[in-house]
Amino acid sequence: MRMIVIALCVAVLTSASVEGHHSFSAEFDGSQIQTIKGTVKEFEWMNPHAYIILEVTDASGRTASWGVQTRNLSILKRQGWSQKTLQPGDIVTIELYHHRDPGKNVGFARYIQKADGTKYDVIPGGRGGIVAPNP
Amino acid sequence: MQRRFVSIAGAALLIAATALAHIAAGQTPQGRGRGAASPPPAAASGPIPRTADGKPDMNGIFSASETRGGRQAISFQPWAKEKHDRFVARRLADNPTARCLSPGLINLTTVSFFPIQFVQTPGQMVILYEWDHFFRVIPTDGRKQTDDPDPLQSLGHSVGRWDGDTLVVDVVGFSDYTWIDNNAGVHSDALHVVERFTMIDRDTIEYRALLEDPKAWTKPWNVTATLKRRPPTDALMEYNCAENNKPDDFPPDDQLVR
Repeated sequence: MRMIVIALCVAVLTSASVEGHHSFSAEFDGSQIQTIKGTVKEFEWMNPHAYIILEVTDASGRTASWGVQTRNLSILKRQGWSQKTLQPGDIVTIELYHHRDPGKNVGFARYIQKADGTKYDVIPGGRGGIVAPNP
Repeated sequence: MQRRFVSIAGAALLIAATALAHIAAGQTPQGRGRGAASPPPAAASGPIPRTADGKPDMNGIFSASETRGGRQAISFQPWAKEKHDRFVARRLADNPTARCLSPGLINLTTVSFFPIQFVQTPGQMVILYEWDHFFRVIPTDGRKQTDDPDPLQSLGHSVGRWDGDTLVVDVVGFSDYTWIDNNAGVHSDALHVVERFTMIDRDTIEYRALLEDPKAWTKPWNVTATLKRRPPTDALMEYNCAENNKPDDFPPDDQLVR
């Protein structure tokens, strides 16, 4: 019983910072495309969407954590992804749609490029080429 | 580490994203938005395979080609237009798929990124949808459509028949909460769909659906899509929209427009 109570407390605490389940247009701004470059901290290979947590350093040397949403696993698998596609420490460039709140470091990925040049689409047919990351 | 993640249902996200991307680039999605012509005919890939009874053999895995296919604008009745406008004003946050509810018949069939599998027998066609494990069992044994479609279902009640190389499916008895498209395409329980799956070569099925709903719309309209056979190495996978979501990932009912 004690373990159940502890587990419930942990569940409540860990879910407190998770936002709601929304539609794309309710959450992201399809006109705000941004490119970020950073170091992968976590790659969560799970349905309904795989997530990338990365640390991004800006021109002034300040670092910030970003959360980037991708797609579900069957779609990513057909796009060439696997659970080994990203590892902690990987340097990645990600083009994304930014969250509607400009103050949030949250985006929905369009495509991703690893340091070795390998590109992975997130949106099928969404290729547009990686551009230089924002300063 | 601050983690502010959002979740989203599959279709709404990609469709909106790709549409917006094209709109941002000054294009309609794939150059064929609403009201556009039917997709161009696909290149012949081989003769139509046949079953022992001479029908086109549609067994296999297919997915809509990258486009969403041709659509015509929905002409709503006033109450439906008002509901549609409210959904749009809320940036489509009420999309049933954002709560892992049924995407509806048309979205399931014309989506490009979740394949479907046809399992054909002499008396029935089964369609398996990767998107959230939906399925339809469509009798083709000569029976008539039911006059009592109870209970109402998100994919309705289907009865099929063969018309040459076309499988014609009549569908009635829809529950009214799904969206025909991901742009608040509301409908009522009077929705009636006549689907035509026409095999034109080994790897291509042309899909055309005639939709009418006299309660919600002022006139019938059509949806078309081209279904292409997936590579033989492909297989349906699981997509559980609700997997790993937490109870508070979903907006409460009082925040939804019903």
